[in-house]
Amino acid sequence: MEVEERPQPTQAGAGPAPQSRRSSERPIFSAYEVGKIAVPVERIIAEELGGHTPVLTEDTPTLEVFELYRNYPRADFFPVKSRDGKIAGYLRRQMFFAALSQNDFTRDLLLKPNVSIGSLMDPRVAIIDAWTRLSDASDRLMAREEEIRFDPFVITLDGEVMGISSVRRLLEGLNKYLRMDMEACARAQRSLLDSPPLQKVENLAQTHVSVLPLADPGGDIAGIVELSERLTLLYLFDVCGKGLPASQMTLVIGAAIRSLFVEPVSADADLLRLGLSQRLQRFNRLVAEMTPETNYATGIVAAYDKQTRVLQLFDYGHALAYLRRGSRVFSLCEGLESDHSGEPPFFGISAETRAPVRNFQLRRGDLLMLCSDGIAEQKNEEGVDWGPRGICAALRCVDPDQPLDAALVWMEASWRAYRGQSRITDDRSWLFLRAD
Amino acid sequence: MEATVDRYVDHTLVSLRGELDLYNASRLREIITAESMQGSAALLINLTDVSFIDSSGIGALIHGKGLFQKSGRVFALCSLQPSTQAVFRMTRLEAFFKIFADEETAVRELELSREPARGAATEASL
Repeated sequence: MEVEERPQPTQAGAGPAPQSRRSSERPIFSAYEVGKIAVPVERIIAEELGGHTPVLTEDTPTLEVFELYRNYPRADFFPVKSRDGKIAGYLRRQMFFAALSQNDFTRDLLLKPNVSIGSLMDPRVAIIDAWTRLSDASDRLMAREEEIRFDPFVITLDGEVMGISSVRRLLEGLNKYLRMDMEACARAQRSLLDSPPLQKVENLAQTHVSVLPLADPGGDIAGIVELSERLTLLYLFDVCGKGLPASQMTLVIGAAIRSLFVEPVSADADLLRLGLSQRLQRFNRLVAEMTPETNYATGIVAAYDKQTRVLQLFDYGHALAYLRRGSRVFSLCEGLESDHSGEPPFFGISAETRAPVRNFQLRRGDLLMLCSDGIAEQKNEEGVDWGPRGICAALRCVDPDQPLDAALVWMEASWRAYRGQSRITDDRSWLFLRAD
Repeated sequence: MEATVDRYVDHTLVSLRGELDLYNASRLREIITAESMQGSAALLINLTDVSFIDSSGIGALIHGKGLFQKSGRVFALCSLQPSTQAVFRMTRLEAFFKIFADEETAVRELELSREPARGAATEASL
């Protein structure tokens, strides 16, 4: 995102807030953070140059630099110190040889023994302390002017030059830790949610659920819990964002479902006495308190009473709940209103959020379908969303006499046919329930 | 995604252009946080040129509203495209945010001034 700012003059020149040198006061919560001191030194050059990076001075003769670059063809960058011993700039091979090769005159002039490199160096050197977090270092380097954005930079430790590094090395470091985090999160998600990496299909009496992450770990979570002989709980949550933050929130939701609904601690008598609505409030509060305030999920929780066929639906701003009755399809969340508490209508963002609830009397043969927004927002080859209209049209054509897994196969096939060759961009989850 | 920030005596207008998604939502969050720290009494986000918004973009806007609301200040949106409006309607965010049909309406109904902040060159850019 590029920002064009129109500030007041009084703010001109105000720099960013100074950053603390060591960031230990900030919480370390992942391998990515633990890796903050691992800004990698460019080993190739260091090894070729005998284990250390030569630092030039403004007075170093150009002839000496010429010899250095000629003898070490892989060396691309040297820091330059000023007379007072501070890093004052840098000299890239490319810059140096470009200056030399302008014409014969400049070449002869620059290679005279008494000519030094002071006028050739670029003063816009980036100096990164070795304790800097990889992500902070990346931000600083990317904030450089465009023509030098990908230039190497100097790493210092306690004010001394430790070595030089490149943006490529830094990005490799970032990727490495990010990958480690993602793998750790996926392992945790699989163990907790008991979900194989690519597909989860459960078959219960009159319900069917399928979660298909776009990549492992996923940001959708859906499932069915038999709360009692009468009452079945269905839930589908779609966590905002992607990657690690989304999968961490998915884990928290999964853990909370287990502790509040699947295996409630019997000692927690208060919890067991709570009605569903209050238990959902506690569920939301727990997730809101355990996840960053910027994370949230949309979701639907439904409780189905098999004896009375009453469906109670709680909508956390998700809206993708449909009922097929005969040949007609209804959107169940249309017209639901928030509680006007001033809280966002989503799950896990505010401890005070209460989902609007609506009760439906189902009839024998009614088919309830919940799905994630990855399904509704899938674009076709013309870039148009499948949307609620596409979902309803496909659901209308489900064969009512087939088992529910056939309904899933039909909906998936319809979705794929619509998608054509366009890219899949999100996880997708389906949940079906038939009133028998 | 591009953002233009215009400062007026009693509010800041952030005009966004492009798609607001996972890849730039954190940047928008930073802009909103920075404007909140500047002490602006109201922040108006113009979405007229935003063609797409995903859950991360919505998250950034929710963050903005929370930030301004906490200190009793105004956070409002204006000029939503029909596609964005549909997302807001479906997720019931229409009731959560102050949303105005266009910038003029927002300025009028929120009783905001059109006078640029002292010394602010509204046509200049950095």
